[in-house]
This record gives sequence, C-alpha cells and structure tokens, in this order.
Amino acid sequence: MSEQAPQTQHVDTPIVAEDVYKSFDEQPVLRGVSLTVETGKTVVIVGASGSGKTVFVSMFVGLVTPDSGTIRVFGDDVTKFTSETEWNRLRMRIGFVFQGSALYDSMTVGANVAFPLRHHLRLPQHELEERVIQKLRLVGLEDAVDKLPSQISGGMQKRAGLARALALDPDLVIYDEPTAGLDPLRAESVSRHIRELQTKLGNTAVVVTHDMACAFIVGDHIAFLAEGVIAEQGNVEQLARSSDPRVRKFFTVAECLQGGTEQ
Amino acid sequence: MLFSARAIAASVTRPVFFGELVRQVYAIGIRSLWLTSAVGFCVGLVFAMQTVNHLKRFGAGTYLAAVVGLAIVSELGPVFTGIIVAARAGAGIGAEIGSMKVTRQIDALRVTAVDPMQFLVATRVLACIIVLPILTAIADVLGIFGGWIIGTTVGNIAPLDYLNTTYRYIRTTDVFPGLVKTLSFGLAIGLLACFQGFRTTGGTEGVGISTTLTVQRAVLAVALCDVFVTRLLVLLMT
Repeated sequence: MSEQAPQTQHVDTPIVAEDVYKSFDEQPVLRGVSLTVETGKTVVIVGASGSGKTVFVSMFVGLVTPDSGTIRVFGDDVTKFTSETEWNRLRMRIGFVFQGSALYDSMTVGANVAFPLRHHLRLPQHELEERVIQKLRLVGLEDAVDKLPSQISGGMQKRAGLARALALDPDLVIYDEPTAGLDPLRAESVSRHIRELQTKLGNTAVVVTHDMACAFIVGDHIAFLAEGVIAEQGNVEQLARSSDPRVRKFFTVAECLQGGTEQ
Repeated sequence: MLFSARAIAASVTRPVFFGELVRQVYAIGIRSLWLTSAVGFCVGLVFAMQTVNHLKRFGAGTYLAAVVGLAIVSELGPVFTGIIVAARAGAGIGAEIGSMKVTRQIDALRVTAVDPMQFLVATRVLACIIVLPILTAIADVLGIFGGWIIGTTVGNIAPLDYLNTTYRYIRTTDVFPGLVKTLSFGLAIGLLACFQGFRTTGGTEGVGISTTLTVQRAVLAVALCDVFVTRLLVLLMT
C-alpha cells in the first residue's frame, strides 16, 4: 500500500487508484489521489468532513466518475467502463455500506438483506431465508428480521446495512462513515463488529471515516486524505509519528476527545 | 427525452421485476379505485342533472342517456381519471422516488447491481399504463350509472329505455379512443413522476418541491395528451 502504485500490480488487487482528480463546479475535491488496497487488508481513509473521502470510494462502484486518473478494481480499469453491464459484473463482488444505511424503507430488514440474493441468485425460498438469517446473525440482528428500518435504532440500521452489503459474500466491502451519527458507545460497538467481521470473513475492506477511534479499531492501514491528496499513510504508529501538521493536529484532537471520553 | 428513452428501453428489456410491478399496480390502481370510481359516479350524476332540463326544453329529453354516455366515455371519464391518478399516484411516485434519491436508496440499488431504471421506473410506468384504462372503464360505467339515476328520477325515463338508448348510441368507436388515450396519460404520468423523483435534491424540502412539481406537471401533461391524442385519434378514425 503505497502512494505511488508499483508499475506491475497483481491482476486481482482489489483497488489500485492512480492520480485521481475530481472537481465539482470547478471546485477541486481530489487533486491526484493514489492508493492501493491489497487483498485481505482493511484500509481506512481518514480525513476531515468534506475532504472527498466519500467521493473517492464512490468511484470504486461507479457512483462518481473521476475527471482523470485511473482506478483498477480487481484488475479492471473502471475509468474505461462504458456500460452499466460492465459495472454490474464488478458490483457483484463489492459490498457498500452507506453512511445513512440507505436501507429500503418500504421493506423489512430481512427483505433488505434478501434483495440482492433474490435478484442475483436463484435460490430456493428456504435457502434464501437461511442465508438472510445467517447474514443477520453475523451482525447480531436475527431478531429484527421482520422489523421495518424505521422500527430499529440507528446502530441497528447500520448493522442491517452491513448485513445487506455482505449478502452476496463480496470480496471487497466499502464502509462509508460507518459510525457517523452514533453515540461513542454504539460507534465503538459498530467498529468492533466491523473488525470482528473482517477477521472472521477475511475479505478486503475500505473504511471511510473521520472517527479516529473507529480508524484505530478497524484499520490495518490508514491513509490520511487532506486538500485532495493522500497526505500521509501507514499504520497507526507511523501516522502518530507523522511530521505533517495536518495529520498531527487531527491525531491530537482525536486523542484529546478519546481521553475525555475515557475519563 | 433521454430519461424517457431509457425508461421505455428498460420497460421492454429483461429482467422484468414482476413482484414490484404487481406491488405498483396495487399501489397505483387498487388504492386509487375508490376515488376514481366516486368521482366518475358524481361526474355522471352532475352532468345528467345539468343536461336533463336543457334537453327537455328542446324536446329531446329521451336523448339524455346518449348525451351523458357519449360525454363520459369519450372525455369526462378518461380526463377525470387521468387527473386523479396524476395527482394521487403522481405525488406518491414523485415523493417515494425523491425520498429514495435523497436517502441514497437509489445508489444502494445501483451498487447491488440492480438497474433503478428497470426496478423503479419501468415498473411504475408500466403500472400507470396498465391501470389507467381499467380505472377509466370502471369510472365510465359508474358515470353512466349516475346518469341513469338522474334520467330515471328527474328525467322520468323508464330504466330499461335509458339503458337501451345508452347501448344503441354508444359504439365501440366511441369507447375505444377514450380508453386508448388513457394509455398516453399513464405513460406521461409515470415518466414525469419518476423523472421528477430522480431529479430531487436537498433533503426533505427537495422531496416536497419534487412532489408539488410532479403533480403540476402530470396534470398539465394529461391535459396536453388529451388535446393531441384526441386530435390524432379523430384524424385516424375519420
């Protein structure tokens, strides 16, 4: 995982992004972001709100198109994709957990998890139900199968969104601000859940967050996005020793807040 | 235009989300049925009330059944039903899709490799096209029944004579154009409501704006389709 991607990448490396630029209304958001995510690792992209973290990971599933640069997802250069069919083939290998959960609010939690299975796998009804319960059990929500999203708490909605993202057994899971809007205890619980799942399932993950506690818990590798570029990356210890004042400030404030919470 | 082309293409390509289509037929059709039926009945009743005395003045009271029947099947039934569905179902579709857009449920569909044009748009457009002629036919029958009540009570026309006159004067070529133009109403309502929903931005306020715009535009679209499709059908049938 280096800012400058090597010349030759393994064809199935989950993410290899090189020199990615993106502007909205002539306001640059990403100014040459490069990042590699290796198989089986959990990479956390940390940065202030509005730094372009969500925009960047949205490019991995075709929700946002880069202005320039290349992004290879499992070896496919997605910047050359011209049809939704190409994207859909790739999306089957990726689970995406949205910041606001984005559960289908007209469906029960069980139906939300069943949705991708129903549309992509021709499973007998009993097997489908088993798979749904299995996914919900992974996130501790098997009792909420018949509840509507509006009938469960924010933390449970996050976990239901996670269960839906895991429905098709993806090779890569992208978490967009998984702890946003949760109180510190629930945020920690969700973070630990993600960590446990990653350990148990062994898939690759990209986590976008501005919550340093979450980053410390789930991340094998942390990339700090600031002013449209990856300003620093490495493991927690490496980032804590960073000479970049933006990174140091972010860490200092996060540590203060954590210290305050612990007291 | 591009949205319409994509929506129509999605409506005729696989996969067809049959379960969602049935859900939409129920939401748009069955749930609008009582309203379109009540309005259809009242329109027939009131139209007959207003017409019966004018016809009597010209000594043409016995033609009430023909006048009411023709007005209902060719214009009043289709247009009132179209406007009700535009307001009721149009608002519902616009608000639902708008809400899904701002809460990123449409993005969630896309990342699960499900085409929102097929799952959301095609099913709703097809449902509108399917239910409008059915709702109109029911409203037509109830409108004629409303006219029959006035004709047999105020107009002193024998019940069977009223029905015989209706049957004699209303031909298939009168009913058919009225039902055919509701297909265009359904297409216009479905497309506009989905388009407006997809364009929603800015949270709950944006959903409210979208819903209002959907109703305005869908009602106007029904009126415009009525003008152009009626003209086209008149040209084709003469």
